Amino acid sequence: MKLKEEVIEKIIFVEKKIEIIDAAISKELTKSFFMRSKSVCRFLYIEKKIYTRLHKELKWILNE
Amino acid sequence: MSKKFEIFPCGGIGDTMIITPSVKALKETHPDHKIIVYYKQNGQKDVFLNNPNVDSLRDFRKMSFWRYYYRLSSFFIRKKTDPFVVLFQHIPPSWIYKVHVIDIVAEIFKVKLKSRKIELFFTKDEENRAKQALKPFKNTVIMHIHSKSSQNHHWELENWEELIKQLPDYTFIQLGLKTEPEVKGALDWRGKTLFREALCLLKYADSFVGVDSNMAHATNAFDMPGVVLFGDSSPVHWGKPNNINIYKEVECSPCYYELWHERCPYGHECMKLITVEDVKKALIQQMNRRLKEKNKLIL
Repeated sequence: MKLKEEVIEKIIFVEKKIEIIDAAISKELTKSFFMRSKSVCRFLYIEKKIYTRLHKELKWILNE
Repeated sequence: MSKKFEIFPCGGIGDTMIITPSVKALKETHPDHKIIVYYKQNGQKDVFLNNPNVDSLRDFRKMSFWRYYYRLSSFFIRKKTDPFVVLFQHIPPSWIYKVHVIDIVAEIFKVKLKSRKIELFFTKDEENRAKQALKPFKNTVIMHIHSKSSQNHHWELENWEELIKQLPDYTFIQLGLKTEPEVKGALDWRGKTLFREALCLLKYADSFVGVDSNMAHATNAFDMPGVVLFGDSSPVHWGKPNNINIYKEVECSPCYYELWHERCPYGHECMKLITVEDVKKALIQQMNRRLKEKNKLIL
């Protein structure tokens, strides 16, 4: 039971993190095309990929 | 401001094709402006030849550089004109964009697209030659199995050969460079055509099957119902609505901009998951669609 709660807590944390990443991507997209930073975009892309996968795995654990 | 736009396409032939809808929109939005396109390779020139939206097509290679020296200095040094350097992949599309690359280019050009269709224009002579070349064959399917941009675009050669075996009523014509691997069972027209001739053949064939390459982009110009296999690149960015885009969405894909020309270290699962049956089913569906369209035209 405790483990389930911990997983739910973790999922909420990860979802918030994905929201923050999406907001940062949207902010980057509001800049003019060549003003967008390649380093920032690369960082956000990697972060999103990791957290999305983590989210998927946690959901799987919860459902199991 | 000078009434002209000077365009510098960056990237390969496929990337250059992606620009054509924006060039059309640019001309429609600014009909009083002259559009000048500078090309750095013959393939880029071939894409823009006979394009009515382009007023001047100029060679931008070292040998011809001196011709336009004054003009170039005018915008690089004096900044008198507005050049469009179409480097639309300076941030890889798969990193932050959820839109097609055609829309990304439109953003650079600051235009709204009425049509997202790629544009290629041929002379009557080119068209007649293509029609004549294809005349003896029925149910023609152009194949392009190779992409210069990444080895991870490729599907196993045995799969292509099996596909041909399973569809004996279709005439598969393999186009591309002579250096590309030959598919047994297909008509081998590799290296026998110029690039524009190959594009024109595509226009008059019945369907297309291949990987994510410049020929796959070109199908869009002719509304050709084709089948395109995606592995390390995503159809969200590079697919065309006229095609059935087969994509298995494995978790590590799209990885094109990360791996670039390097071979996949995981065993190339994204393309291995695509079966001959998947491609066969899609191709039959597209051929039937093409036949229906043809019949409609006759009626």
